[in-house]
Amino acid sequence: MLKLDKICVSFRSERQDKIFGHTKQQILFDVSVEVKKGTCLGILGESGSGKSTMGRVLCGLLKPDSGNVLINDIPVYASKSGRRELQNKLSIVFQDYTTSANPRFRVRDILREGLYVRQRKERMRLDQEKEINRLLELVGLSSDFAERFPHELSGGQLQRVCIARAIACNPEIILFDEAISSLDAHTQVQIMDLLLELKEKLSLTYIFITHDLTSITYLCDDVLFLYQGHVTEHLSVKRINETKDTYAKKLLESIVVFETEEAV
Amino acid sequence: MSKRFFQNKTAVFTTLIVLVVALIGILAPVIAPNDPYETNIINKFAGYSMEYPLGTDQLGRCVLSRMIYGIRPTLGLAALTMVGTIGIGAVLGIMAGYFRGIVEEVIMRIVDVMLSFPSQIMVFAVVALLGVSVQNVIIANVFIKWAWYARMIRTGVMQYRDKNFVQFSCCVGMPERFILFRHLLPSITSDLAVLASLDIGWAIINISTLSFLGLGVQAPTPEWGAMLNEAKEVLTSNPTQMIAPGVAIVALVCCFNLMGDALRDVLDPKEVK
Repeated sequence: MLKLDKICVSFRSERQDKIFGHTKQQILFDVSVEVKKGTCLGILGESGSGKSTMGRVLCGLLKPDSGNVLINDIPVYASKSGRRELQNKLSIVFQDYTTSANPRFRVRDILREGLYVRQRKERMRLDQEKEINRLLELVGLSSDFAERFPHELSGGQLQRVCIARAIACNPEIILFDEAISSLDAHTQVQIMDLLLELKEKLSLTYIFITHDLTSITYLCDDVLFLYQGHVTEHLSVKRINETKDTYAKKLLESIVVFETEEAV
Repeated sequence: MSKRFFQNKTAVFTTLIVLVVALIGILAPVIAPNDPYETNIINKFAGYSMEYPLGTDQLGRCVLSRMIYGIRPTLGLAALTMVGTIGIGAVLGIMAGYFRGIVEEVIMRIVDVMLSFPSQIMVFAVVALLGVSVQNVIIANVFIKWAWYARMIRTGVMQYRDKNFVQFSCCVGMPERFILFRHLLPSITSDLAVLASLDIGWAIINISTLSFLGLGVQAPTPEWGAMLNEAKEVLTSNPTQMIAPGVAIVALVCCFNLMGDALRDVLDPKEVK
């Protein structure tokens, strides 16, 4: 349903050799990938490999230099209606939950923003109070959280609110940009269980950007390895042991150590 | 928001003082004991008395009445200056910060040009060009001050537009109106309120300075700076005459500065009590 076709992205370098130089640094090289409806794609790579840039291209915030982003075969960056189509279908949860929510908004207002998008999309009025309570319940928070400010919530709770906000738009795809990496291990598991549950309930499609292999194996169907802007491997999670990519191998080795430690 | 405001003693106290002063200025004809323009040469330099609570000046006019009437130009013009400055600064600053690209370049280069002149010289130049009048003083003040605000607001907008909550709004296609007025503007208001209340003090002093130099409010009109100027003329014969306007200016400016600090605390949602 969402398809990237030979995406190239480059940024103008800060340091130029000439005064009006146009030296560019390429971040993504010919990245192509397709996400099917109802699946979960994990994008894995080390820091600086272009994961987040890819996320920005996916969610319509960064126009690539070349290549196409297609949603249901409609090019996203070609026209306004294409962008609107993506905006209606896709929602996002960020890594840094401290800046994900406007510190001046109560949880109620944060969720209302998502509901507003849904109202516009579906051209109908919603009972906002009821919806807010339903959403909070969905992510496992009690309805008295609605009156709180973001700084009065813990990291895990706030991340749940952000997930609720993402779901409030009634999207078909949710992009998680390192959404759980900044939480502690226990909360991570809780959130991941929540995500799996929501995926079943609402038949969502997930795109997961992370550097944490455990969460990928836990959640995703497919995994894409990104190394210095190149797609090095794209395979299903079940066959992840067969990977030939060196970086992926390195990650796999480290995970084994991590798990045995946890077992002890 | 209002709850936190009332919990903050400084904010309540200073706002109250400013409001009371403004009210006295508005009700000047009712409150003032004497006509501020009525001269009485025989009774000049009178001491403090029941009839003239703060004495009389070199022309025998009631100082208290002049002080009360003087609130109108002093506070009113300062407020007008700030409204003009913030208005122009906010519009251009938000445009520069939000739209970026060529718009930003053009606006910021103009701002750079404005900021490269010393502000007092610019005021004098504008007043010299347009002629000596109150109106021109306001124009001159707005003219030199908007650039500071445009730059400050642009920085604020840029700082917040890369925050994730704005990115989310962009991503799900919230209207630009919502992003600007619900996300960006409230986020920069706390900085803006602090700067504005500090600068209203600056505006009062600046208008008073210009009046003191004889470039602002003209002779018979009571204005605190102008009154100070008149008191200066009779410094040796009646030194007490400068106390009232001097203290009043210092107190009011002080009040605005404290209000600025207090407002920042009130408007910061993370401030814990």
